[in-house]
Amino acid sequence: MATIREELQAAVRRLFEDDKIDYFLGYVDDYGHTFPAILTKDSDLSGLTFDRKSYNNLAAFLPELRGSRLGLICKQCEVRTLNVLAAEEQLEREKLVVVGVPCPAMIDPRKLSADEAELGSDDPALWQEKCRRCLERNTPTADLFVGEKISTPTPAEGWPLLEEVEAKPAEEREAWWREQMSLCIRCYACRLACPLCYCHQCFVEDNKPQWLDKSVGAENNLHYHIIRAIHLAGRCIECQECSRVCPVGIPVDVLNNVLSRDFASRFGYASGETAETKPALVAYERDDPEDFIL
Amino acid sequence: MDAEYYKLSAENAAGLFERARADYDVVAKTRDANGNLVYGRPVSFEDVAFVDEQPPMSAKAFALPQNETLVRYERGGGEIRAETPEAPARDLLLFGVNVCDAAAFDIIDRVFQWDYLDDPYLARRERTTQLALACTALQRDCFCNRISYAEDGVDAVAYPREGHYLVKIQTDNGRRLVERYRNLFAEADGDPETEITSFLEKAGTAKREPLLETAQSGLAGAFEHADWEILASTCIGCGICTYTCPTCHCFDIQDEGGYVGGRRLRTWDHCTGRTFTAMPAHQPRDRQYKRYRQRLLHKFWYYPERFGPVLCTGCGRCITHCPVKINIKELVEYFGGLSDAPPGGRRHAP
Ligand code: SF4
Ligand code: SF4
Ligand code: SF4
Ligand code: SF4
Repeated sequence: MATIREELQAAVRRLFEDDKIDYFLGYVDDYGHTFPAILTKDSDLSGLTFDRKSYNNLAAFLPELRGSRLGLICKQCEVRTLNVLAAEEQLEREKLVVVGVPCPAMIDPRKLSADEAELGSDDPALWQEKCRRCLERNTPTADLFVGEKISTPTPAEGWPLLEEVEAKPAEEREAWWREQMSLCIRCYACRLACPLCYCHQCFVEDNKPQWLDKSVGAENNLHYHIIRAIHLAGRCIECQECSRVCPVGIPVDVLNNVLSRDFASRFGYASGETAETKPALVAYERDDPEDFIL
Repeated sequence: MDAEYYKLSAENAAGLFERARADYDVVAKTRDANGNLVYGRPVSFEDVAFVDEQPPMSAKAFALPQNETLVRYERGGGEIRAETPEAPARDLLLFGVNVCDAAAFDIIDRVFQWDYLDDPYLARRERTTQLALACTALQRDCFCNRISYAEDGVDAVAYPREGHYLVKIQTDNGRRLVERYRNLFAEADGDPETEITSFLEKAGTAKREPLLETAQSGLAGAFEHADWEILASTCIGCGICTYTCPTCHCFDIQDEGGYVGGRRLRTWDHCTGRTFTAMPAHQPRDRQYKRYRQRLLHKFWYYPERFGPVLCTGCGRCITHCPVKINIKELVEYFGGLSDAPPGGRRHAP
């Protein structure tokens, strides 16, 4: 039986041969890493793969390739992102060929040992947190699907790290945040890897007026993170890319999770569920709870 | 100076750390609140991490901090007072840092004293002593074995042996360290250079086919290569590569504060970011791959052409921590004409 790797490569070859796409956005593996790659009809497709280190949210590369006919691998993270982008009218869906895959769940890169034995294990404790709460392991709404569907459900957990942080007494919690914020070097990788931080010019880049000093420090860093979290309120689809890419290991998404959970509990709303779901701060229902308005 | 060799027992290494803490500001590998490896200031020898792995942030911040106040001013009582911050009060000892981190200083010293003498940087450098610890094995992303940097610029290198370290002293600064704590060090016996050579062979860190000598001429013809676009377009421009790199040293000058007081400071900056060369009317590096290309060519072509060594020690951080795993070594080999296969098999449409 063909492996997902072979099936994927055959499918992409066909897309190029039938002249359906100009570029394919997928993952390749080389030198011990799996990473995003933009492939053309002249590319050697033998590196193309989908595995448990296919971390990047590929939808983050859509602005770079805007205007071209594009095929891309979509796991559930990308599907939800495309839905938000569609609702925000940022998507040229007719130009995309969505290639669906069964998602084996991504192994938390911080739990990978040097020999990467963890990649062969099915223990959800080794997964990225987002994978433990993912409800759809096989891409819905795919234009074509490769590989065999997975029927095992995920543990459907909530937000364990957020709960852990919230369980701390207020003072300890503040100290914890201050500590995390003091580690931040403001490389903005969390924003740049985020498929929903697509503004051409972010407030952090403005200098007239300058909303934020360029120097790093717990206060400035917190200022950045809070504004970013608010700009993503009801939009963040919890792909955890912000946390994964952070070079100093700050669990950035905990801030976004606070808002996601509030939207879920107050409005029964989850970002990116369908392409018609309007972003929470744009939608209005007559019976929306208003108990927080004084 | 001629190199000198000493033996430092494991027990005396602990003694050295404790005693040095009284005389130096001692920086070593340790763990932060999240359990991640960092260069910090462990208060006891038990908190020092002896691992090959490098902390994500290199040791460069101890000579070139991410933010550095150049001048402070204050206005009041009809006058303006300005002051430049004092030079550091204490000597700094980089204890057990990776050789690739220690070696970086000698490489970037050249740019900080090329035409203009960068006082804050040089003041810190002058007070820095490095006691580096040699790695026992090359890790997945490292390629120091392919970089011919001048290791002899490192003050002292400790090679771990059975129950002791073989310490090679290479500079006057290193010799001062030994003299200060002379009773902790014993003369090395046997043939230390042969011992070091076989240690490096076993660790996989012995030098072979240096990238600079073999790739520089190829790179000089590769500026317009059609594949930059396809290979570097996944770069998101975060600058993690630059900020974690021990040799990247670009900075920006900023003013903070206002009418009553404030400061002028420098902050790290990076050529991979889209604001780096942006001007009101023009952006000369208008695509991301051009910004990435600048980083690679600066390191492996422009810098060596002007200053001698490549601007890289092969630490591999820019691969390990890159969100899209762009691999500088593979790209130098490809664009430098040492390899025909583009990493990941990607090729531009002809
Ligand atoms: S990726 Fe990490 S270090 Fe970089 S800005 Fe975000 S939180 Fe800060
Ligand atoms: S943080 Fe806000 S302004 Fe910046 S890119 Fe994200 S949404 Fe845009
Ligand atoms: S090469 Fe990687 S680490 Fe460097 S700016 Fe680009 S994406 Fe960031
Ligand atoms: S360029 Fe990359 S490998 Fe070379 S010293 Fe900098 S971070 Fe390390």
